[in-house]
Amino acid sequence: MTIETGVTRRGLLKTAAAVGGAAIGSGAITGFPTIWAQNIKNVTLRQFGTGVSDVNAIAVKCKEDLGFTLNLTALDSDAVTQRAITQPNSYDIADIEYWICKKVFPRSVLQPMDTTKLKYFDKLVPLFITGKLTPESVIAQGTAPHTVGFVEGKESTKFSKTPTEWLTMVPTIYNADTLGIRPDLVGRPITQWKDLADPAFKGKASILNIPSIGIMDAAMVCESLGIIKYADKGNMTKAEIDTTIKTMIDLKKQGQFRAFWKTFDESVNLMVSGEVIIQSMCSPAIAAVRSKGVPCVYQPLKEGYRSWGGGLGLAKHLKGIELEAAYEYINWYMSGWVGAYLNRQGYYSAVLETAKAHMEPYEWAFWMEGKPAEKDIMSPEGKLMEKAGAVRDGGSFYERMGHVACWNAVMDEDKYMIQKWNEFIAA
Amino acid sequence: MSLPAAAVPSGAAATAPARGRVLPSAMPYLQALPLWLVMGVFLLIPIATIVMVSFWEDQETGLAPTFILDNYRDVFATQVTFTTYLSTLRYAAIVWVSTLAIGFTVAYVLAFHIRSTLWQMVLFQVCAVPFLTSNVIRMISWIPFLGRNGLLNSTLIGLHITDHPLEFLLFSPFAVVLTFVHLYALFMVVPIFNTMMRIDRSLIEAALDAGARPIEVLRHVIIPLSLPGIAIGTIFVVTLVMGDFVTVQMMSGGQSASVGLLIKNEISLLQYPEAAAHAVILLLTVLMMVWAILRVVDIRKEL
Amino acid sequence: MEKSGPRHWLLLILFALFVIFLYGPTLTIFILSFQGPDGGLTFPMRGVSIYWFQNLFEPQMVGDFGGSLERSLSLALIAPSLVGVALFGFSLSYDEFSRTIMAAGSDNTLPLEVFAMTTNVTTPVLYALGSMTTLFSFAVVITVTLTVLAMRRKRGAKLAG
Repeated sequence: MTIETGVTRRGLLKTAAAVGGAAIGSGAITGFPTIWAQNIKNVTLRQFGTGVSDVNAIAVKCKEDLGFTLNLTALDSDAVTQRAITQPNSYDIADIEYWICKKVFPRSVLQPMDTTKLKYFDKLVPLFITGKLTPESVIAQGTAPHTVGFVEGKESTKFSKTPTEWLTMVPTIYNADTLGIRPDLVGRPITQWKDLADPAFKGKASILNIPSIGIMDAAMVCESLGIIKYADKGNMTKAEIDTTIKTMIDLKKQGQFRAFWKTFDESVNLMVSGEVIIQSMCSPAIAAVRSKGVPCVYQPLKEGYRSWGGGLGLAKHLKGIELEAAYEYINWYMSGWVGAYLNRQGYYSAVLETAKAHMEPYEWAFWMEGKPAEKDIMSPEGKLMEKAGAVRDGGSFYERMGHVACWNAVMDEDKYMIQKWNEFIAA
Repeated sequence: MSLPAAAVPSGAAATAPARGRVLPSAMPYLQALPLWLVMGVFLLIPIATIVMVSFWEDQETGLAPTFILDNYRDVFATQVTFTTYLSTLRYAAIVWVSTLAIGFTVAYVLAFHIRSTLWQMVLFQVCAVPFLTSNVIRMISWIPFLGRNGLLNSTLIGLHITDHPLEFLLFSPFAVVLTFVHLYALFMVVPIFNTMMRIDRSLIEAALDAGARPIEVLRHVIIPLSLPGIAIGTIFVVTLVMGDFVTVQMMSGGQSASVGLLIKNEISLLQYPEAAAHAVILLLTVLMMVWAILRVVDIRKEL
Repeated sequence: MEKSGPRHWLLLILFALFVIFLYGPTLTIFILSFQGPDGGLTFPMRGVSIYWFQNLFEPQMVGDFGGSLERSLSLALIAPSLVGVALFGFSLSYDEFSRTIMAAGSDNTLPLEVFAMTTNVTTPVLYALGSMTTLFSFAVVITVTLTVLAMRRKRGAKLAG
């Protein structure tokens, strides 16, 4: 099965496994310069994740370049968290988001990564080291990746506030989410998060129903409405949670929402079918809507974006040749081919320099610099994404990632938050 | 269940006299042993684990094996628990009534109004075929049918029955109930049909000969004799609806709560002890419902 | 029981309505599984094609879907003789994804794949799968019925002879 849409975030069910056939066929293994070279071919690494980056094409390319087999499983973010914690022996590499990492890492199922073994560590986007995109940036609220990016030592599960030699995960992919709209149906310019609560869109709005992420969208809306000002949206107090949920319950009772979405495809289908015309969405989901011939806009908003990032973590049980293979794989992952692949899907790669080397200058200009496309823009699978002349919504990399208001987060009052969220759903 | 030699320890089976002496009283227990083992390993131990975890404490680094009642206190301290149980029970009640009405009628038609056994078999299978398709697929297939621009709405608008799409059709309690009925109707049809087929036809003839009207035959002969099937179907439908979280979530567009969903949300944030406490209470609720059903109807007649 | 008259026909009509209710959504997905290559899971149709059926049988798919399908279908083959009992088990085990997610090891199983498809797939390939299973089940029902008929005729012939 080939990948058709290419733009789908999780749409790549092809990812799920079954690298087998195609991968084994390609026997072109060029002697890899390590002492393990011969044995490493027999290694199979089992990676699981949310399917954002669990793309079959990556496994095929990995087999081609490195010689060993990568077995991929795609699940939704709840299931990913469960498996990471309850079945630590069922995987070798965990492809998880940073807010999930905050919950997973303290339960000692992953092992810290030695930064000296990572070839491209110095080239990582500083967002993941210091939390600042540029030296002048303000650190966004929420579980910013750098706050859970390092631990204190090799055996430690305690997050370090400052960079150390021990990484919890290698950052691989990140993006900024905002409101997606149907420009043909909203009938007016959308500029702020509070537009989601506009009575004009009664019965046609939606938000995310993954509690820890949905609450952030809700917070963006409440703050934009001027109801409340948060000290940290990613770590609310009980009172702040109460106010946020109360506002949401009122909106729900007024019939503002058509549905809540939980998965990538639900958000796409709600938009394509016209059930919903304004909702929080991620950039590739918007591209997926457009690829079905339906107009959809990734709408930059005054208050900024809600951002998320993910990375690869090593399972605790990895050792010996398998651990070496895992490092080999991660270094390969950061060496550019994958980065370019992710960039071309609308995500951002954590090592920009190497990704740039694997992209055409016009592609880089369109995806990263916010310039009009010189030629037609194709997805990694060769499907037309944007015609020549198009400009990317939200502009350049720095315009997008420089306006992050908060990161997806896990709060201290998590238990309370989930109770209130259940109340919201039950209302 | 008949497990002759296999269930008997080989030593005992080898010597015939020993068998005659030791086993008469122990035999039934030995025969039941494999069943008990299976039940123990796959049912009792997992449930015991859930009960145990429901008393544990949730900590950042994992679960602490303690004995605290906080989890239960949390469950009862909040209004959400009651609203959610109410909403789930309401779904269970509506779905039960609907599937019972449909299931009984369909089984009745199959059992008494279809002439040949061949046609009975064919029609029964026609009803059964959709149930061989994945529940998830059958569930989501309602979405394009009921949606704002779905098949039903465009048909209604096309026929000028309504001029604007009916919004209550999808992402609503209506959609949830409809899907439940669609998914579980057969679980009512099969056991009722089964009991109806066992009803001695001469009883009905006798009643008719004695001057009973068809409606009286239904009330005084068929319904009482179908009760075990109705009870079994009820247990299936009620337990399935009580434990569901996918259907409610998908068909209400995430806007309706169910106990299952509540537990799932807690699990998603790794709050296992709270989830376990909820699960224990849900289990007790469902067990009480099953017990009540068994009090009313003696299903052993059926088995 | 009387097998004619208005009551009899009314009941038969109710039965027919039930069958329509059962197959209504199946019909929807049957139509939608012929979506064009750009089509989504909902209306409107964007072209008509058998693209998604071809897609379903491409060997490259997730965990070799064709393979998993074959296994589950051979299970379905056994079912008719045990309908009633088997149906419950089969229909329920089909949807064990929630439990499978929690318990499965590193292998992908069919329920897990169906679930992954509903969460990860924005394409009608899922509908193509649904249509295929329904059609296949029908084929089984028809075959079994014909076999039973043939056996009866044979037995009838024997008795006569």
